[in-house]
Amino acid sequence: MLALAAGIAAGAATPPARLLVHNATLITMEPSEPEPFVGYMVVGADGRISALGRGEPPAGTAAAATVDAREQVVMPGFLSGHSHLTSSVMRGINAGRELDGMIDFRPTFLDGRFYEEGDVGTFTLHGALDYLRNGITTAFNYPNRRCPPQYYNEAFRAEIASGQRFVYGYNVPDMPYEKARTDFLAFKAMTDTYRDHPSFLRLALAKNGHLGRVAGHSQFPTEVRIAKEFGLPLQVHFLESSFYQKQNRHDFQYIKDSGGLDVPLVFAHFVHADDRIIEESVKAGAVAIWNPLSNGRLASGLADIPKYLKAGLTVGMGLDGQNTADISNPFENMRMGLYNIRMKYERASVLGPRDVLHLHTLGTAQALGVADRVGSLKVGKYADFLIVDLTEPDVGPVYDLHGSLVFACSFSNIAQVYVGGETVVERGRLLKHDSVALGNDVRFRMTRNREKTTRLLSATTKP
Amino acid sequence: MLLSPSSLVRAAGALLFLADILPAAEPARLLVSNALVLTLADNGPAPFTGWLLVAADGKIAALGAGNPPATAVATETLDAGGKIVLPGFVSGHSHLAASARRGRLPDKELDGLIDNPVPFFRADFHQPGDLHAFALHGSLDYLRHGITTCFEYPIRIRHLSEDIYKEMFQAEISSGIRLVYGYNVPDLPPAEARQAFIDFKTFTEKTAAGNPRFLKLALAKTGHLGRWGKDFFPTEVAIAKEFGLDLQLHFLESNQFQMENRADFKMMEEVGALKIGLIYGHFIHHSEEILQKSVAAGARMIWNPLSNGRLASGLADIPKYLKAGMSVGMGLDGQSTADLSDPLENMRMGLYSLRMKYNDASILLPYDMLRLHTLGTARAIGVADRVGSLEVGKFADFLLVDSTHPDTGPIYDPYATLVFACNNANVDTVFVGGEPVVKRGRPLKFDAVAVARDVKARVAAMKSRSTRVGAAASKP
Repeated sequence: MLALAAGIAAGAATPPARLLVHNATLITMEPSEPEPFVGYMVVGADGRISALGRGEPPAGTAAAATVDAREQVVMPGFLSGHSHLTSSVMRGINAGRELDGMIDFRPTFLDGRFYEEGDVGTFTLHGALDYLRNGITTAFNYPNRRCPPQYYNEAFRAEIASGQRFVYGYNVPDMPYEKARTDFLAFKAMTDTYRDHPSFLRLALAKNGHLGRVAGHSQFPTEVRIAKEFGLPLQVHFLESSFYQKQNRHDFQYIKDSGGLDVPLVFAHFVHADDRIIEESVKAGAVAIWNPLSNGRLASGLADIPKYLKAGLTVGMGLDGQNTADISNPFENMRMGLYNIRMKYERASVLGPRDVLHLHTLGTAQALGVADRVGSLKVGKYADFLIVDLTEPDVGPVYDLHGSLVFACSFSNIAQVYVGGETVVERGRLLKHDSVALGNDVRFRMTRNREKTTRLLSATTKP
Repeated sequence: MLLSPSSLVRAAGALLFLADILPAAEPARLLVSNALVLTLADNGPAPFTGWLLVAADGKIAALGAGNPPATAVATETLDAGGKIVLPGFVSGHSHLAASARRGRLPDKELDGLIDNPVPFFRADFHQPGDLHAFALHGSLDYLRHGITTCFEYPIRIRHLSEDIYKEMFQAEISSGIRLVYGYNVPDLPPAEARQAFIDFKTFTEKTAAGNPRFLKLALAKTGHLGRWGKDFFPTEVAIAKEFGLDLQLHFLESNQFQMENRADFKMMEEVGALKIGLIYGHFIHHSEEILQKSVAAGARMIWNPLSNGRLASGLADIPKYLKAGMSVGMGLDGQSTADLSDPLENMRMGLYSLRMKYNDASILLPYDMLRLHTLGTARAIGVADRVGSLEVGKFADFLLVDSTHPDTGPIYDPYATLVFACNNANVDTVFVGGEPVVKRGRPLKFDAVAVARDVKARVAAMKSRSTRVGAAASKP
C-alpha cells in the first residue's frame, strides 16, 4: 500500500533517480503513519520523493546514489514559521530585556539604517545557513525594512543562495497605498523571475512594524488591501509581549475593522489570546506560529497551545530571529514548548513528543500553506529530510522512538541534512558554503559598522 | 601547594593577577593562554582575555589577564585562540545508570515512571557488569556534555546484591568525572543498615584511596518519601548524623504527591532531619512554612528544569527561594527523565520558564544561571572549596567553548552568548584536573562506541533473560 512506485518503472525516458535511501527507520509525519517503520525512499531527479515504502525497495530500483541508513532515523526537515534571519549576527544582545526593551534599546551599530552594501545579504545568509545546519529546511523569512532601500532585495537573493527552501514575507513600505502597491509590484516582478526556482515556495506579506508599536496602524489597511488583491498570506506579530497585551487585544477589533480577517492571517506568537480572539481567529481561518525559545528569552509568556488546538486553531512553530531565540535548534525548541506546557498543566499527557514533532514539521507547513510540497515524507513532496543518528552522541537503547527523538536528541545527533535529495550538511558542517569565511565576513562587517556608528555618534555629540 | 599567586592586583579597572611562580618540585601540567576567561568566582572579575596554569596535582596554580609571565612554564601549552574558558558544570542530582533508560513512557509523570519500571530491570535479571556498563555510559554522557562534577544518587534496586550495587561506584570513579557519592542505605534494621554503610565506606576508601576524583561520601535516601521508604528514614538520619554526612532526598517533586510530601515535612522535623545537612532534590511544591524552616536549617535544594518539564512536575520558584536565602544548585537528574544531559539547555529551560512565569526578563540573567549551574551547585553539595569556579587552589576542571563552531556570530556579551546561543556542540574540549577528557564530543579515554554497544547488548540480554523466566513461569 505504501510502495507507490511512481517513476521507478517508468522506463528509460525518465532521468535516473537521484537518491535511494534504504534500511531507514522512517518517521514520515503523515497522519496516516503514526508509527515509525523500516523502509526505503527514492528521490527523483527533480528532488521530489518518487517512491517510499516498507521493507526493501522493489527489485530494479536504481539511483545515482544510495544511502544505507541502518539504525538511523529519517524524518522530514523542520520548518520555522516565523524567522528574522538577519538577526543571526545579533545574538546575546539585551540579555535582560523584554521585547519592548529589545526594540527600544537596540545598539546603534545594529541599526539597519547604517548597513552598507552586502550587509543584509551576508547577515541573512549567516542566518539561513545556521538554520540548515540545525535541520530547518524551510523557513518563513520575515525580513526587516530598516535598511537603505537599495539593499532590501539582498535578503531575498541570500535566501536563494543559501539553498534553504523559503516563503518570503515582503514588508510593504510605509507609503501611501498607490506608491506602496507600485513598490510591491516591482518586488513581485523581481521574485517572479525565480518562480520556477525550487527554493522559493511562495511570496507572502510580513507586516511592516509592530501593531501597537512602530508604523503599526497607519500601514495595516494598505497591507491588507495588497494581500487581498494578490491573494497572499499576511504575517503579523500579534499578542507577543506581555507589556502590550492589553493594547494588542484592543488591536484585534482594529484588525477586524480593517478587513484583516478576510485575508489569510498568520499570527506570530499569539501568546496572550483571550477566548473571543481565539474563537474569531479560528472562524476566520487565521493560524498561529508558536516560538517557545523566543517567548522564553524575552519573558513574553507561554501560549496555551492545548487550548488553541482544542479550539481548532492551526498551529505551527518557529525559531524567530536569532537575537531572541539565539540558538536555532528545533529539538530544543520543541522541548522548551512541550516541557513548559507540561509544567503549566502539571500533566504529561497534555502534549506528547509526536504532537510537537507534528507542530514543527507538517503543522507549520500547513500553517504557511506549503504542505503540498514540504512538511512530511510523501510521494510527490520535496525530499527535504534529516538523517538522525541516535548513537552519536549515544542516547542508549530505544524503548519509544518518538520519546528518544524529542527528549534525548539535539543538534549533534543530526548526521545529515538533505534538501531536494541533496546533502547540504554533514555532521554540522556545511557542504556548499564556507562557514568560516562567512563568519569572518560577518565579524568584519560588524566591526566596521560599530566603528562607523561610534564616529557618527561622537561627531553629533560634539559641542 | 608550591605554586601560588603572591598578589592580586586590580589597577585602573583592568584586571591583573601577578603570579609569583616559584620553582616547583614537579613541572606544571598545562598552560592555557589567549583564552576568554570566565572565572565565575564570588566577586570575580569581568570576563578577561588571559591565561591559566595547572599544577602537576591538577589544581589551578595561577591565572591572570594578558600574556602569561615568562615564569609560567608547563609540560603542555595550549593557545585557546580566544575561545571561552569556564568552569565545568556541576550537577547536584543525578542517577547515572538511568542513561540506559531514555525516552521511556513519554506521557507519564514521575509516579507513572515509578509504577512502571522496565520489567526486565529487576534485580534477578542483572548480571555482573550490567550496572557498571550503564553507569559508565551515564558518566561519559555527562563528561561529553561538559559536566565535570556530579552528586551521584544511585538507585538501589530491591534485592540487588551488594557486589552488583558497588559496580556503579566503580564505574563512575573510573570514568573520570568528579564525584560526590550518595550511598543508598539498604532497607534493613538499624544496626544492619549501619554495618552495611560502614562496609561500603570502607570499600570506597579502599577503592578510591588518594583518587582526587572522589570528592566525598554522602547519603542518598532509598525510595521516595511519600511513596516508600518513610519507615527507615530515621535510620538514614541517624547514620548521616553519626558520620557527619549530607543526606539527599527527593522532596516535593511530583505534583500528584505534593500534599502528602508537605505533610512529610513534619515527620522530617520530628526525626531530627533538619539538624543534619539536608539536600532536597527538586523542591517544587513548597509551602511558606517549609521554605522558611528549611532556609533556617541550612537545607539546600537542587533544581532540575529539564526533568521537571519532561515529567510535568512543575516549576520551582527559584527567584523566591534565592530571595529567601536558600542555597540553590542545579542538576540534570537521571537520563530517564532529563533524557539529554546538556547543562546549557538545562539553564535555558530553567531561565526561560521563569521568565515566562514572571513576564520579566530581568528576573534572572545569563550570569546568574551560569553561577547556579557551577559554583552554586558546588556550594549546595558542599564541595565549593574544590570545584565550581576557576580560582587558584581549586581543581582545574574547565571547558573550552568555541562559539564560532557552530558559529553564533560576534560576541557582544560572553555570558549571554554562552547561555543563550551555545549548546554541547560548542564545547570544544573538556578538562578534568587539567587533563583533556573529551574533545569535540568524543571521550578520549574510552571507546564510546564500544561502551554504547555493550549497553545495548546487555539490555537485550536482560530482556531475553526476563522473557525466558516469563515463559517458564507461564508454562502450564
